[in-house]
Amino acid sequence: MLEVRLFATFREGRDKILFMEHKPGMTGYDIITPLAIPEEEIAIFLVDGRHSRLNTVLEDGSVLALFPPVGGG
Amino acid sequence: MLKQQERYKRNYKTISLEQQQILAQSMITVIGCGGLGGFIIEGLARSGVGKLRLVDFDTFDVSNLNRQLFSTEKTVDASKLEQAVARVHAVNSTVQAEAVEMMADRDNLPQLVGDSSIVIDAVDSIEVKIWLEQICNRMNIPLIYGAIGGSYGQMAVSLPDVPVVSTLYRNGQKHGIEKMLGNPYYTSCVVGGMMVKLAFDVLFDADYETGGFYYIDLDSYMINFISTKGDMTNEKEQKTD
Repeated sequence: MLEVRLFATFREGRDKILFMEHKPGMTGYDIITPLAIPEEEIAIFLVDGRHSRLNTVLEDGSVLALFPPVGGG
Repeated sequence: MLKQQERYKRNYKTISLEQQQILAQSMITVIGCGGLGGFIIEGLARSGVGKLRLVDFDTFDVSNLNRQLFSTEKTVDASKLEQAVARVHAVNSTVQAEAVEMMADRDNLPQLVGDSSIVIDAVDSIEVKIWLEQICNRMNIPLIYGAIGGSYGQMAVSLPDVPVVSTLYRNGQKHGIEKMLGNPYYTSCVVGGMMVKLAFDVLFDADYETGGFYYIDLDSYMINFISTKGDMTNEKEQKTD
């Protein structure tokens, strides 16, 4: 099982935390596709608290976090 | 006549006399005198940072009144920079404020940030934030990065060995969630205040985190530090680990 935590605008119309079944070879792309989050809207993708790329192969039990960009001043 | 020796009396139990002297001897450049910049400049002036270099090119708009500290109904259309300098002088006449009216870009930033003890990023352009980090890293000047949007904020200390800003925007986005959520008062105020604290901790060589960023979620009243060091795809960071 994978735990997916969504932040800021990614929570709109979605749960803050959701769980997905883990399948061998799965990457971040297999997470964002069913959530309908476009890759270009993601600024930060954390795998177990580590800043990662979406093509990272995920291990069972991982906790993922997705953040949109923040750029105001 | 003001009793200047009592000015920092309420600081001393938290900011020591020695640290107060460090502030007095410091020169901080703040790029941007708007939402974050207003609260940051106010804090630096009240705290007694000896010299400030303030940079902005813009004028106040009616839509700035919800949060930008130096904007009032009378200063709509006035220069943000002029209002910032006037405020510094009004609050603390012992602080020198140098005003530089220009839009920061890749060409003029090296000159703008030169001879600063610390540079503070209070701009609203992701492109300029990235340039600012590249230039401060190259010139070996600590950068306090900050960004806000809606109830969310990010801030970090960027040092030459541990750049942060470039990793946060590597997907090439030109804007963030602020375009959708706007910028309310409380986020500008909280993140601006925290960036002042972070700048002081760098000057005092106190405890603060590097190699990542602080994420502030005011909807959940939560602050987390998120490391970007573990990113094995970023060769530059990997080498420094």
